[in-house]
Amino acid sequence: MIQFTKHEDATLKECLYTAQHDSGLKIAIMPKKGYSKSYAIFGTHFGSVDNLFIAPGKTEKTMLPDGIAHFLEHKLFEQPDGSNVFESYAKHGANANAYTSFHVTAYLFESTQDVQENLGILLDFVQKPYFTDENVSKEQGIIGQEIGMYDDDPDWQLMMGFLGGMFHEHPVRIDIAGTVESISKITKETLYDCYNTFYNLSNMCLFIIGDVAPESLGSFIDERLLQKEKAVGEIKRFYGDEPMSVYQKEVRKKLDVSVPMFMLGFKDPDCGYDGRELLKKDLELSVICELLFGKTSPLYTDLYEGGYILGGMDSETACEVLYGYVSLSGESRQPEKVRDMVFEGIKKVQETGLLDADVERVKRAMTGQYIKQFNNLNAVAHQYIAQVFNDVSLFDFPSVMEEITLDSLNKRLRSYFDPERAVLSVIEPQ
Amino acid sequence: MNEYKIYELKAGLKLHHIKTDKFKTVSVGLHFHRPLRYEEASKNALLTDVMRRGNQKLQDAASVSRYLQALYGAAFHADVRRKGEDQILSYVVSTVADSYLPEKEATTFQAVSFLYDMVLCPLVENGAFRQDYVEQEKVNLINDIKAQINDKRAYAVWRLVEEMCKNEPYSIYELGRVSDVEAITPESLYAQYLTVLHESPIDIFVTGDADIDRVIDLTKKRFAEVTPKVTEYPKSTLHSAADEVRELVETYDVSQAKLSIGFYTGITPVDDEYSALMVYNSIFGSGAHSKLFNHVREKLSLCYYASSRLERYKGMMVVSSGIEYQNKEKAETEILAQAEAMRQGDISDYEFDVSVKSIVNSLRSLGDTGGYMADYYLGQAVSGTSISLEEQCELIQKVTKDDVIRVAQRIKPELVYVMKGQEAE
Repeated sequence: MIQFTKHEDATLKECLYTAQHDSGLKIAIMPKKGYSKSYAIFGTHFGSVDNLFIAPGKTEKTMLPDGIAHFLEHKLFEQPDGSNVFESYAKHGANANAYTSFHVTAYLFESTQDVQENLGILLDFVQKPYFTDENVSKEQGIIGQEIGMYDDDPDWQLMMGFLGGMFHEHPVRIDIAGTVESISKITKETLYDCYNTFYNLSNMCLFIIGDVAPESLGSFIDERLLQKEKAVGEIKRFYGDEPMSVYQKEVRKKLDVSVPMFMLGFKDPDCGYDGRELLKKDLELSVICELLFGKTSPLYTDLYEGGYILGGMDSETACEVLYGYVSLSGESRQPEKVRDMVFEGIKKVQETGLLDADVERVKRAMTGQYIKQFNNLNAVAHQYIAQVFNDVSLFDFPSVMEEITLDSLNKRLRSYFDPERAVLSVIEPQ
Repeated sequence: MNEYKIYELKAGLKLHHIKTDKFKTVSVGLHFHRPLRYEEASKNALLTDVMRRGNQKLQDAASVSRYLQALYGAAFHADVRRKGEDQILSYVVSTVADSYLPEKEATTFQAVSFLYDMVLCPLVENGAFRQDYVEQEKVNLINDIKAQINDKRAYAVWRLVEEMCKNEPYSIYELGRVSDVEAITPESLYAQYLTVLHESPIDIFVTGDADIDRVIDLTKKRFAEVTPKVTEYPKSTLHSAADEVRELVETYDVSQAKLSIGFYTGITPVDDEYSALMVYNSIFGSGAHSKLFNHVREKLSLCYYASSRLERYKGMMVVSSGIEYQNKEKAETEILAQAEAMRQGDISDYEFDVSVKSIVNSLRSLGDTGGYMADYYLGQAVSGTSISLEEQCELIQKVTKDDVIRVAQRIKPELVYVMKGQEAE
């Protein structure tokens, strides 16, 4: 039996039901009355960065070829009886997909009918791997094409250049899909090794959102899970010894683009924790970025009205347990000038500090965005899975936001943004 | 449940209310309809960019942003898009519904007032927009037009459509041309603003749980001086069929070649066969159950992606795929063979059934996103149809395999477009 714990957020008027199955699988269900669509996502804590590990009960380290998590994601759709997963889904009106990020591999579907049948398909195929020499070699061709597509994608190349400049050791600097050469080393044996280690249910989570009833789905899920007991031992993961400094302060690449594209960012000097503390850092950085780089800032106005950036600039925060960064991206004919202006703009605010009225206004805007996010089932599901393995939950936002003070923000502002830990990645026209 | 109502406030000014309490937001979008043509395409695009910068009360972008932040992070967008040969200038504000706010504040009403300020009280001095804003946004707009080539996958489809519709307004990009942008002055832009405001049919969409009577009152008051001289939506011309299949090969800096194929369908949303065409498109190339996905990608491993989509208002369909250039002949042959198979009635029960389910699933899913729903009904207004989402689902479920085969027999390939890399031989 699966026993759910109910969590309520009174402002949002939403409930989240969470449980841990005997196998260790984390389950969360959010009922959404009045919605036609249901969205389910079954994910494992195995992404492209997990390339060196010791499996439970073993003593030797295993090194994996780059791109294997993504390769495994493709291959999991092969079924022992030759049936086609997409066909089974389609018969029940579902759209199915899967993706691999740096940290997770996730399988999902959305449908407006037959939720239980579709959930059954999802649980079944992810629990039944079927790798053969033949189907592995066929996939090498298809993924080779996919890699070719990323080679032509300037946004992706900009991002990978940025990460490659920022990190010396951490495997987030390696492309998720790997290279044609690295995936050629993948065999059915390595795939089974990965599967057996990382697709253990104690390393996985299941999230369902839509007009569904948690109790009845709970017993259905319980029946369909093949593993009934929690695995013994933990996976030990190794990500290298990442120094505080950046690997390269500038990274350049040429592609067929109309104007240079830039991504400028700062490396996080303060890592190594998860949970509410991690979320607090993330929210603090979001407030700070809005005030430093957002449309209300003097820096943004100077960049935009001076024509140094074309059409706008996005800022993003990445807060993972072992690494993090803040990035700014946009188009500019003078990326180096933009960098100088950003350094100068940050320095000014570091000297004066943030103002209380500005902070309160931005916190208010972020509260609105938090509420709005729950309109979008896909966004909630992706948010859940991106946070669950960092021990952050969907309703943590309001209480963590309350802990953020002007003082904590000014401290973060002064310790985080150091030009010595900045990287500029540029895609230049040919 | 969703309830959809249209209030005609005056000739050429309609307020649409999609009433539902399932969303945590209320969004209000105001749309002007203009004929897609070179004389004004760039001006309309620039107009939304410049107007976004401020109004009489909030005179710069920073003030606008501060105002929106204080309204619990309300979002405001202004842009142009095209539906067929209708160029639509859209101004949309979206805010947290009052019932979700901690202090029960009335942000909806403030957000609507803000939207009307942006549209009706732009920052104008002496019959012209501000020179500095106009110059800055011209640079950005020119950059956006040039940036079209950055996304090669989309650009390969664009080049196909542009080439197919060479002598039709549909070949005009929604942002217009660089040379047209260069010629715009603060005065000519203001003249265009007056044209747009007074000579275009206007649709206002309110989506969510709003006090609609209050919004209607405010709208009537604020639009008292606006009486659209043009009340008819710009009409799209049906694409005229070509006599033979042409091929066009162009070289760009790509490592993966793109193959796009354009088809003539001759069917638009006003035709009874439109639902059958939607099913045809789904079987042929829309999704993992489709012929293109299973034959071209899965069985023959010829490409990473291959899919089709309808250019609904023009009576056209386009196929888009990414391939190795050396496989171009094979991929083209296979794509055309799949279209031929459909003409011959080679459609399995499985393909037919799941295509119907897939469309119904997509249509019902639209109802879960306020913006998509508003866009669906805006599309209905543009095509002069009034089919609700649920009615459209029923129409799809009534389509028979024979209907699809009859449609298949009308569909003809017209242009094969290839974008290849420099080294490809």
